[in-house]
Amino acid sequence: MTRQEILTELKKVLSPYTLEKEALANIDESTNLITDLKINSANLVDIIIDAESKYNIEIDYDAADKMVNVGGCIDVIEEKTNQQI
Amino acid sequence: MIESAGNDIIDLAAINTERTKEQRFYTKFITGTETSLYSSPPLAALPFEFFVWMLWSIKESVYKFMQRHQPDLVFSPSKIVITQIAPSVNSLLTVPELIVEALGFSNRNVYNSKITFDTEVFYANTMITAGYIYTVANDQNNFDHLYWGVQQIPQSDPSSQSREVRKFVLNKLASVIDKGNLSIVKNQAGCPILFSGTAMVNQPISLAHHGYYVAYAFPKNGI
Repeated sequence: MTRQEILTELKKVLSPYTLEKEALANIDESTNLITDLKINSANLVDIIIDAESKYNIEIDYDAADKMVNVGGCIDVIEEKTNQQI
Repeated sequence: MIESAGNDIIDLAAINTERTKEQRFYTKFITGTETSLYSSPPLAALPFEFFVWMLWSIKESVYKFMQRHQPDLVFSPSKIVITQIAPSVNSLLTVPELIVEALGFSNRNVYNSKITFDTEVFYANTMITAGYIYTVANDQNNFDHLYWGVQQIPQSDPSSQSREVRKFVLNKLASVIDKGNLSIVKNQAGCPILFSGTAMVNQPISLAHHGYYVAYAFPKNGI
């Protein structure tokens, strides 16, 4: 999976937690989940759990800390899915 | 003492109760020793999902308190460790009021907790009602100098929350601070900064919102 492919899929993971649909459609690696997409921090764990289910990966404490922006989410998903190969 | 503020609110109508109780959910930010706090009898009387979100709100409040002085700090809830929680004597769930504001927490039912983060120690007071969980953090176990408030709002979209929480705290600040034309601007780290006209005011404030609730906390010392 390329980073662009992960980004496209990530939009679907983030979608239930943001009303900022235009911002979501235009996300790039620097997009911050809280300040740009207005996702409530109380939903950050939901996003981690949904990403785990979608990619069949396990995201530990340290990896979860990186998932504050889209680039960080892609890093974690890329790293964890590569570990499975 | 660090001049700062940190608070957090959880709208209990906006949480996913079933998911909260799943081990794979709460173990993402609650460690084994923290989970064992739930086995003490007064806390065990709380619904488990309330316990989980109380811990979340404590960790987030401490993070906000710290972040004002460390803009690059990443929220790592598992590293903010709650070591003890002393429950209030009377923990009956009360119906939330539309608006509640006070200076300090005297005569209120709160869960008082102690937290460690790296080498530093923090304290927090948490109120649990049938509608929300609300926490204020501090670096000393004295909350008498802290103004705080919680308000229900009619809409839960982010722009309404943002507008209402600003209106709520600015209204309070205007009544206790001798400066006019107050406004709030968030800095790059997302920390709210108070302005009077174009001049920055040295007054830490913390804002919180979730679902149909908004909240603020700020210390009296800075005024």
